Amino acid sequence: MKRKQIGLAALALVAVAATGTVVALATTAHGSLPGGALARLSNHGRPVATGPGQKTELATLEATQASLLAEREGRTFYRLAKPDGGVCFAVNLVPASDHIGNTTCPLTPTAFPVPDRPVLDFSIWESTSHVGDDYHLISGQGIAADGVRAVALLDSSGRAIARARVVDNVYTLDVPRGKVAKAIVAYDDGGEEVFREA
Amino acid sequence: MQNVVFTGTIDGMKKSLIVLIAAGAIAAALAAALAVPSAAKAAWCWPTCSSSGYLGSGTSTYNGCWKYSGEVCSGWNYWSANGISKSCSPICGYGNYTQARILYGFENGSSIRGWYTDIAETRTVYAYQLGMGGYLRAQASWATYPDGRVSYTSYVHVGAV
Repeated sequence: MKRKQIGLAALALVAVAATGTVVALATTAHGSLPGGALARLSNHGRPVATGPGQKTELATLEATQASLLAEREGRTFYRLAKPDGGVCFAVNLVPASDHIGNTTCPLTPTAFPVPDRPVLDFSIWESTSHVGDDYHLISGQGIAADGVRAVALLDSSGRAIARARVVDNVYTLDVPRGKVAKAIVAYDDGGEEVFREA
Repeated sequence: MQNVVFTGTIDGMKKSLIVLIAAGAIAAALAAALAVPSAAKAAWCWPTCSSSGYLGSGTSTYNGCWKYSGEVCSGWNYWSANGISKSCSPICGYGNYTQARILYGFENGSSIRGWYTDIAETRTVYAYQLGMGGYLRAQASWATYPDGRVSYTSYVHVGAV
């Protein structure tokens, strides 16, 4: 009987330890539950009145409300709400214009951000070659989860040629004159790479 | 002239009434807000204005696109907007990741420009936002991954006005 009690106690201890291990493994470096800061977008924006051109662009998306996330370096970032609960994001690259700009509407509202995809990159790429995938970045901007702290442009050798902090879930990066950007990379608090487009 | 709309889902695109309403809105929008030439009121869709198609390394519209293969493109016109609806296919991973990468946007005689995406979503890109204007082709291209991942064939609907 005593042996059985000891066995049960040992089993309970193993169960507790296993639970603790699972919780520890599932907890991110940010001290939160799975997903954590890489699955969170705290900046929901401020609803703004839209001009006629913006209203028309919203209508093509079936969106009804634009919220301003940030204005930075000549770009304007929006979060767009749809009556069915859908969410879109937009970046207008033309300063002080009556446009919403380029838009993306994830298939499901919960698709962004997620730890596997904490960045919604709106960067523009260009190629002047008809052969292969020889693209370079001409304009870097996007929206990033809370846990993304910085972004950088890399040249063909992987060297950073421009860096920027993510502020209010938004980032902008211009390619320095005379440089060629071949990749855009995002980093978390610990400097770990969490996103790359190249 | 064909009409085109960028709604949130493939099913949505197939609703003819919505297509007509939204196409009218787009045409009015572009004519009024962007002051596009009358030629831009025409629209281009791929593969048709009511269906999606497979865009892979061997796909082509055979009309002189920037790339010989792996690209679909419109004819030359004063295009203003290019929209794409990408299905969650062939895989539908976390965050709607498809492992099917494309670049879409516009091209002229000297360059091709656009965005990359490999998630299921509806996107719209305006030529003026890419710093492009005048006589253009709207395009969508199959793209490789620089890290060696296999880029699968996308199931997409593309449309430009």
